[in-house]
Amino acid sequence: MKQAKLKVATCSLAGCFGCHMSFLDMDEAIIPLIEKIEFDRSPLTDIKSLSDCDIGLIEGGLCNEENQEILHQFRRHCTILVAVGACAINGGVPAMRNHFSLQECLEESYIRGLGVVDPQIPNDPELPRLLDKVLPIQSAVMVDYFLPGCPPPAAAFLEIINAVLEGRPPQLDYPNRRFD
Amino acid sequence: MLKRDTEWLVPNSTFPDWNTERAEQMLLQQHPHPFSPERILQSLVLLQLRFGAVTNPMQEWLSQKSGVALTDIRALMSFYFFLEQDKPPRYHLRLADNIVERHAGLTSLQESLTHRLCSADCRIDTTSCIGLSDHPVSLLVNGFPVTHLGPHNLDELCALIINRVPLQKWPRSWFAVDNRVHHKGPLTSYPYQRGKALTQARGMTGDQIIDRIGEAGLRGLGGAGFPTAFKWHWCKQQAEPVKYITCNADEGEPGTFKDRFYLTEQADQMIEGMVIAALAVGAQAGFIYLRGEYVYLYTHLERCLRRWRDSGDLGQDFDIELHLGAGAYICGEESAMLESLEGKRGIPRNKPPFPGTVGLFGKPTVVNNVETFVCATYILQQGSAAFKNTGNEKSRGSRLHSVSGDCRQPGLYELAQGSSLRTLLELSGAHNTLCAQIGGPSGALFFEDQFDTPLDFENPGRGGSVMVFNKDRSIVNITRHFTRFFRHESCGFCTPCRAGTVALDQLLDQYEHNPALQAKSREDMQELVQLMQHSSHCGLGKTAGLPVLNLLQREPAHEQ
Amino acid sequence: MSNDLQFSLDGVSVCFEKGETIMQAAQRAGIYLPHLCFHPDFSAHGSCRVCIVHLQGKTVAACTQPAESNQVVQSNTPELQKARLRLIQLLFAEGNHYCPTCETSGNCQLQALAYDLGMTHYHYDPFMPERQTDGSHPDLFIDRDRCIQCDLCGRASAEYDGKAIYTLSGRGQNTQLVFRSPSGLLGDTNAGADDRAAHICPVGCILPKTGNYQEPIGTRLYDHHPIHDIGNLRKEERGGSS
Repeated sequence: MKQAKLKVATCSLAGCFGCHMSFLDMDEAIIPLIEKIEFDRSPLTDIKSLSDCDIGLIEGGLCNEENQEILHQFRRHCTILVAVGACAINGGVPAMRNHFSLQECLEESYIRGLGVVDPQIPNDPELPRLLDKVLPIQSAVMVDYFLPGCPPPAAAFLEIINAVLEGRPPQLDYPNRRFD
Repeated sequence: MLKRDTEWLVPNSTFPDWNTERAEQMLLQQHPHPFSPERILQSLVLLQLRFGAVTNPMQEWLSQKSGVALTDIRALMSFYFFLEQDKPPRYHLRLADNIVERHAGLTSLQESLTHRLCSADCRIDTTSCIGLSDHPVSLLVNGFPVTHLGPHNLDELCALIINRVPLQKWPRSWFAVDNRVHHKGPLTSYPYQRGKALTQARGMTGDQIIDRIGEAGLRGLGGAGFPTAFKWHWCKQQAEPVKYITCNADEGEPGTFKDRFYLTEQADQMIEGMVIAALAVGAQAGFIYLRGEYVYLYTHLERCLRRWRDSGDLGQDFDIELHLGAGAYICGEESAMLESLEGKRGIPRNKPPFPGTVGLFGKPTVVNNVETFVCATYILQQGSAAFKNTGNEKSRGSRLHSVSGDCRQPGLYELAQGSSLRTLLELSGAHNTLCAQIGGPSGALFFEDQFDTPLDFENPGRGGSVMVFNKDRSIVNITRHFTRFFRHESCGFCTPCRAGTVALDQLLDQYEHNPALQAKSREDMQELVQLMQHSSHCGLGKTAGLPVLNLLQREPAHEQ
Repeated sequence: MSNDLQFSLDGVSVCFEKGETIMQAAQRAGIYLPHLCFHPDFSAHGSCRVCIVHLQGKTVAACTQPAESNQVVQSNTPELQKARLRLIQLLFAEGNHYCPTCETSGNCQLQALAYDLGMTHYHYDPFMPERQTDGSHPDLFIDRDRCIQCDLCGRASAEYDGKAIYTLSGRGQNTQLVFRSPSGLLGDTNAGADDRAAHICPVGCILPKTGNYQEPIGTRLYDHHPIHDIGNLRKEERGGSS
């Protein structure tokens, strides 16, 4: 009997999707990989709902309440949760706003910013509320593995999936352990 | 001859306007070289006391006079929390924030004061333990202690402040500090004869004096318990002819106030002990490092020193200078104290070399606690045997314990070394006791099954204090309080302490509030405490994690 | 004669001269002990604690501990490597270190030690301190977010440049790099871009204002070579070692 495929879900919270791009950057290595895994909820599949998965790959940190909700959903549904990339690990570039108060950031963007027409801070109830500070995901949930990098190299993604398939902890060798 | 005139050092609610003439005159009354770099911290402290702040123009003036860079003066201001650069309010209330004060209602008192005095000319904040946790809730008003603040006198306090009543006209009883010893022993009841021990010492060689101290088995009473005779001997045998004696009166360990007693009631014994030490090792100068919280004892100590000078026992071959700290717990660490005496930020030094070899200004230096010098005088007057016959094999003599918290009679108790914690709890009327913190936050937390532990040098918590907690108290709260204390008092020099104390505080928060991360934070704390113990630069970092360790030992991990 | 002046470091016999520390002796013997605040040209500081070693039951900083005959010193043990990893993680957590945007990335000793010790994340929650930058100097930029309080600039400035411009101020977690000028700004000191102090920073706190980001990824100091192989280098010290 064929081995069941590993179910993988991914999402980007306060991130730039660059980590997802890097994942796809594994070129032809994705072909044998796709024999072993299938995607659940992911921007790569456009599946919006999350079912129980083996691996959840989280790109981006927490900057709003929606991020928090999705992260907790992922934690509930994924056996192994992986923080992918600098933003998930330490907040990354979005966390550079932590130097300022949320109000200052909003005013800088929507009131005083260059070229702003009709200045007002968006307040549509549909918009997720922003958190005071951008946080790494480890501040909120248990994270099993971390893939550093901005973005992590494609080889690092391959390694983490292969490690889970082989039932061993991932081993990032020197060139795959990078923070930029 | 210096006047060392400090008549102005009394509770004040108005400070004179600063001008350079007035400032210079005041500083010169205290010291012949107030603008020498090593004196700069003392000058800052004195300016703070005289004028209520060291404002920017004052800092610039001091920098100009001394040649010390303004940046270095600012660095001192930023390290010693009692130095303020903003123009002082009429009343500056610093509430002592020790766990004992918290349990006595500090938080609600502070809230109420802040609310009621919001438009008064007054600033309200907190400071670490001020050595009055047997008088809760205690506070410093413009640097001077007011004791027993509570709902019974809160209205009156607010009225005095709102009506701008000068501090001099506040009820005298509010400033009263009770130094009664509830259980006396040899040290607190022997018939001390001023100068008798010194006369004895004068008839002896340095080695004989040291032998006498060694025979008695005296060990340092500041917390470390190092044999005093060895320290003195080490310093004496250094070839360098210039040597110093320093007395550590920076009693900052929360819950500890035994030195307050000696400084108030037995300052002569302490000074005599220092002179004896100077004779023994051949030192020419001595320093008393008095914590800023005890500034109300400054004038008293200066008077005592003057009497010793008047009798010719000080000032000829050996003199003692009184220095003030300014709100930095770390300066109780001996090498940080030496740095502070040299006028620098109190960053502990690398050891080795130890002070006995390279100490104050690079010279061999004896550093002992107040109580140790008091005991030295006792030993020389009463004989080694009198000291040695009390206590047990490894911990000779008796000592004073500071007891505070949940007991009927907080205060001072002298007990023979090796007496059990239970004895002390019973004497002080502790009831419904859950646990007791021995030797302050850097000591140990003992529960009922450990109450028979002897209080001596062979067991944890050698600093001479016991904070009692009854069964209504939360261990997590106590732990968090102690952890924040260390975070607040870390000097910031080394990574494990500077960053570790913050991380520990965060993890404790996570442990308490995030069930999903509880198991992880528990594991992380355990590991971090160990890291801090092993890798920190000085004792503060090494012990800062102990309260957390106590908590984790007491709260076993839940089944995963 | 000098035969008795040796100690054992991870089982290897290391000779030392009287007055040397364990770190100095190890460096002369070509043995790498991880470190950040140590530099052979300046007095030891002992603050980063990354060079901790086991010495007969005690843990001490190799950069301040005097070498003594017949000492048995352990450095490369899993326990100590783990402790160093945690210290590095504490340093990352307490500052604001955003490697992807940092000019020093790839040449940074903090980052290189993190790579070498297998760090993948901070482990501790970031402290998110608020620290001031200083762009007042015409040629130098100060980003205190990246400062690790090692005082190397302070020592280089005082002991080598003879200027004593850089120093540390504050207490505890508020310890910060300051400059000796009445305004407190670097631009009001006589700091020069060619000062040793301006080039000694092991991280990206003291930076030249021009000439950054010129090395492509893959060609920087630590892109392919772990720090334990090539030592604590600075960009301009390629080939040398410290």
